[in-house]
Amino acid sequence: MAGLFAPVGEKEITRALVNRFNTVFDSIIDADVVIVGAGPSGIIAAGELAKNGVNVVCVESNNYLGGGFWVGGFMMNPLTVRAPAQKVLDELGCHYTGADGTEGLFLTTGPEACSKAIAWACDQGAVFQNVTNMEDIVLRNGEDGNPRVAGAVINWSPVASLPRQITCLDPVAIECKILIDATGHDADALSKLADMGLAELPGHGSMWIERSEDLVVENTGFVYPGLMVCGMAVTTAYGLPRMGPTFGAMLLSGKKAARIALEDLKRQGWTPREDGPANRRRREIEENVASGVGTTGTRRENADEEILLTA
Amino acid sequence: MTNTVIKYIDGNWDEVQDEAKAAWRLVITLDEAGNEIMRQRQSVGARVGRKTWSTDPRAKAVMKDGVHGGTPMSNPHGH
Repeated sequence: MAGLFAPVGEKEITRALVNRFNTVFDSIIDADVVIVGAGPSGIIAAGELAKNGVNVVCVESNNYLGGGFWVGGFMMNPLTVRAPAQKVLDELGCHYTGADGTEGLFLTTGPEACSKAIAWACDQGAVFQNVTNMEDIVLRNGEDGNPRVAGAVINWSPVASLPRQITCLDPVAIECKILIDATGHDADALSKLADMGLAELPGHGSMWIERSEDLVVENTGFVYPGLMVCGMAVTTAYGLPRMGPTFGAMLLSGKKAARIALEDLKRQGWTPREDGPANRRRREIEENVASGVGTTGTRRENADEEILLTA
Repeated sequence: MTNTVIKYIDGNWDEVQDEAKAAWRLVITLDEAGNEIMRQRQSVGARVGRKTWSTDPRAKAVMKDGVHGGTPMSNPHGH
């Protein structure tokens, strides 16, 4: 029986899923950088690091990526950034306009900005591990003898909502040279240190957009050996004012986090490897695009025509 | 070899010279070349910190506080 779709059955599909998952997961067990939280700052940091050949995985508890970046505020799709963050929108290939009468304020939409940020990060070779909770951090003594964050303990998100009496489901751990807390106001990774008495967790202050955006970017960086904060987690880590419905600082905080992480990796003796996981992933994407298979809509025009003719 | 610089910050997030006027201090660790390695906030005043939770009903924070309470493995430090 000739059908519209290729003659591929259940076992081939299951095997493809399992093998691909295994290959990708194996590549991030010993990652250079683990980012917790795939909101705008985490996505941008992940893409920027992958672009520089860093083996980076971004762990997200929800099944969807993007955090609060899908909606601009008060459930309205228009989304604002203040200059100079529109330059990041340029890099993402995102359309935007100036806001009427307000110099330095730009409007795009959540669906476009968020989807293009995710696509951009994937194109750079970043790995996303969604539906996954960071349950704990891994602490080890560093070369200087002091504790250093050295990994993340993870489990599937649904495990956390199962009844306690029937679940004793161990997580697994992935190791990394740097952990970036991009979990927004929760500051989940930093809160683990706070629970152990190793850091303060003051929580954010009241909204003050003009001040907060500058402070978030200024304070993005290491808050503990091996642990960085970026995005809204910075406000929780330092008691800064909350930022409100504008996203420029999230984008620039992600950029800055990536730059600082890259500098620290180099201090640790890291060098980009041409055969490293991130470069392999990016090369695979580029080769696919060059050969007209799959990604980035390369064959979209032809595909529409072929599907219509076949159907 | 590292150096430490301390900045005093008031409740308006401005740097102040007088510790008595500060709400907290930023302890900034620098490497030999003067590059920042890390910054940590330490309370010095009476400003009350508070933990915050995501208001997104789909977020993990809500799960943690929810009726299920998570598994024994998901909450090792009682957070």
